[in-house]
Amino acid sequence: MPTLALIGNPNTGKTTLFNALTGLSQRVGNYPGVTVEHKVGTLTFSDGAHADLVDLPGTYSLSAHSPDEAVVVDALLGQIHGSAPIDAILYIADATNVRRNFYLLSQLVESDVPIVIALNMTDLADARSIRIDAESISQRLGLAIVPVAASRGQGIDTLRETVQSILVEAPTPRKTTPALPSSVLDSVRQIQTHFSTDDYAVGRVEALRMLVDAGSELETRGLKRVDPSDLLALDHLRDQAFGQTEPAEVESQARYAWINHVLEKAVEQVDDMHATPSDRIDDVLTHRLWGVGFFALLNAVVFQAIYAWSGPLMDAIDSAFVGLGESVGGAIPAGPLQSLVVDGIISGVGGVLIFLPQIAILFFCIAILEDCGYMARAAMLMDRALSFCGLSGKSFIPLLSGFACAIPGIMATRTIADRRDRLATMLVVPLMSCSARLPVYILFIAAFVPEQSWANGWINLQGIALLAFYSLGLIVAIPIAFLLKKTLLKGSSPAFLLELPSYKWPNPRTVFLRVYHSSRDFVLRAGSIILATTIAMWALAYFPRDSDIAAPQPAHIVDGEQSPAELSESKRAAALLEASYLGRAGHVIEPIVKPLGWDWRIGVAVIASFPAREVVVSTLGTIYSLGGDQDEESEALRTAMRNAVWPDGRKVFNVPVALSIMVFFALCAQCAATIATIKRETLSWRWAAFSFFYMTGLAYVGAFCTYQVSMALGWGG
Amino acid sequence: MHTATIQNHSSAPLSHCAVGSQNIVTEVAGTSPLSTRLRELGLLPGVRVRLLRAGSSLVIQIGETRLAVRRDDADAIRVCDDAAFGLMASAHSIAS
Repeated sequence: MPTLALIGNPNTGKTTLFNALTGLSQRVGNYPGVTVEHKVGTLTFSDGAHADLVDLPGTYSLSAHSPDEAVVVDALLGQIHGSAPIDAILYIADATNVRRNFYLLSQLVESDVPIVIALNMTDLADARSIRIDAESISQRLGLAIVPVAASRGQGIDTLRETVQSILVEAPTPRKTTPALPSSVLDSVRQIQTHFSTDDYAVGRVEALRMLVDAGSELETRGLKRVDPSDLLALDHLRDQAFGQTEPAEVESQARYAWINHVLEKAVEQVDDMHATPSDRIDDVLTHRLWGVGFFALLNAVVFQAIYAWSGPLMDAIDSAFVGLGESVGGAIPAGPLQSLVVDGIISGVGGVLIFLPQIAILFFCIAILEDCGYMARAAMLMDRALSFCGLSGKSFIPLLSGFACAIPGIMATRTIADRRDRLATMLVVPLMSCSARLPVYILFIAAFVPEQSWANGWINLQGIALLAFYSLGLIVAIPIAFLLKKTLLKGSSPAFLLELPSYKWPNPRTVFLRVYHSSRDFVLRAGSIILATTIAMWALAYFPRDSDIAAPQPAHIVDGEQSPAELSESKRAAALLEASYLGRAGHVIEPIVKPLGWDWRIGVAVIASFPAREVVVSTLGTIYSLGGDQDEESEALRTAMRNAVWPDGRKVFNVPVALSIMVFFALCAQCAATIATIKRETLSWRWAAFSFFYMTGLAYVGAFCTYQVSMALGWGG
Repeated sequence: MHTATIQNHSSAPLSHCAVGSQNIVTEVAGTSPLSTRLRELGLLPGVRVRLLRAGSSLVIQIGETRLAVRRDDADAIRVCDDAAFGLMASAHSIAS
């Protein structure tokens, strides 16, 4: 089956075109050794024949500055392990900006791969009175050009036919390529001779990139192939080719000269740089005052939407899983299997799916904002604040995503070109208060923060406390990012350059597919790890099982609304948990957590929450003999916590303890899936382990200080 | 083509220009990835550029492309106005 590559600049509607051509047949994987996504779909022609269409990352040029962009060069040169070589290129160009869009094309025509050009956004071009004589351009290039409007589905069928005809045609030699200076061409030829071996022939495109892109990955590979000391030879060839002029300047000049020649008199547009409707919108949205105000308002709306809309859905999922647990549990005789299925598997899967509404809604909002073009403006507005911590505006979306779930946030760092910036961002994304922390906050705030309010209920203490904990992670992230960039991840900050695409109406299909794929990704990737660690934790909490264990009669267990039978069952569950490996671990760490004001039960709950933070709530329920189905709204659990006492009669939970637990959860790394994702995205365990230890250490210190300070302030009551 | 920069004394960094003004690029200094990318996006000597926003981040327009650049990085872009460019270009062609 032939393989086509879809190549083009960012912001050309490439995703929309890809979706229009492949529909739901797309599948996402990973390129080996890098964390760039490999997106492939099936292109079906009118006669039923198929081809693979690979959506390569959007790039402006083959001189790659980020891992994303490097994938395009590597794919073109067939240097990606396990990836099929490219049989033809489907090049997408934005009709409203043809000149710049042809830059990458000018590089691609220097290869031998057949090319079909899709001239997209012709509807927008018409609206702006831009007239393009595609016929003439096609003649001059010797390449087929198909005008399309992917968002409207126009021209797609013609495009498919044209693509198919290219695949069956015999390849013809290139009609025209940019005229590079002869000194450059000489050096290119010499590189080809010098750096080719018996097994590997260096082509013209690769040789040119080696010549111009000093220090690039291609240069490294080429040198490795022949002789590392040949760097001198390479430098000599560069001097020979370019003299005193900047190589990139020579290349760019030559290419734009070619572009002007190819487009001469074929593109008619009003060229006086008059303000477009987009520009007028930007006058407000990028304004230092109004723009920032709009941005803050937008954030508030998005967060409100997430929490308001997800509530009912989460409740529905919760009851569905509780119901499922009951019915399945009823069908299996009591014992390890029943417990594994109900408390391990069903509870684990439910624990993942319950966050799906929040994550899907956040992705929905992000997808809309990205597709309409606003995200680039938001990144620009945030750039100043972020550069203060050593990051850039590109870290904005990953950090924002972290408020729903760190996993998509960490994956979103793939767009950050600089390795150090990307790593620093990945290490602070988990500090953004994700959805799983909310149950912890809600439980403890409701139980221990007094219900005081002012101004007729508009301002209340509990709400302020919630806001404070949400902000804690964000506030702590600032010095952490700063420190990371100054010490471990030291290096010069690369420049921030971002294209601001024109505003456009978001395309429903694009948005839907993004939400669908991101949600599916989350469930499968994060979900599988959460499930695996939940089962492991279940085993630790179940074994060794002494079925003769009797329920204790400790004075500090408070009876809630349970019947005598339920109560004795709950007490038994608490005793079993105490006797399990998990319970023993809790006792072992008790000396360590005492300075934080915690007892062994809290220690158990914290350990148990490693698979997923919110598990701490149900674990506390079990351990206080209320049964394992307590949630953060449970009045019984709140009462139990308020009344729990140490053996000597002191209260276990007071305000300082509650605060220290919340601070711990705000800063801790109790999420196996996050650690696993960091490992995956950095391709090693080193940074994953570092993030676990630094966050645990940070959480410990934070909880310690919180407890000691608030006790000293007399809040212990 | 010819020299990368057109020697002159009447050019200024783009960040010093007035918002809304259109100017002609005289030089894109530097060898950094940023400078390379700017050139690839069409920012070359002789090209017209318009400043849409000033502040810690500038927004500039080259052809139909609008870019956000940090002000410090934008110092690499030197421009002059139409009249000055006209003078320079003719001086240059007389000299060569």
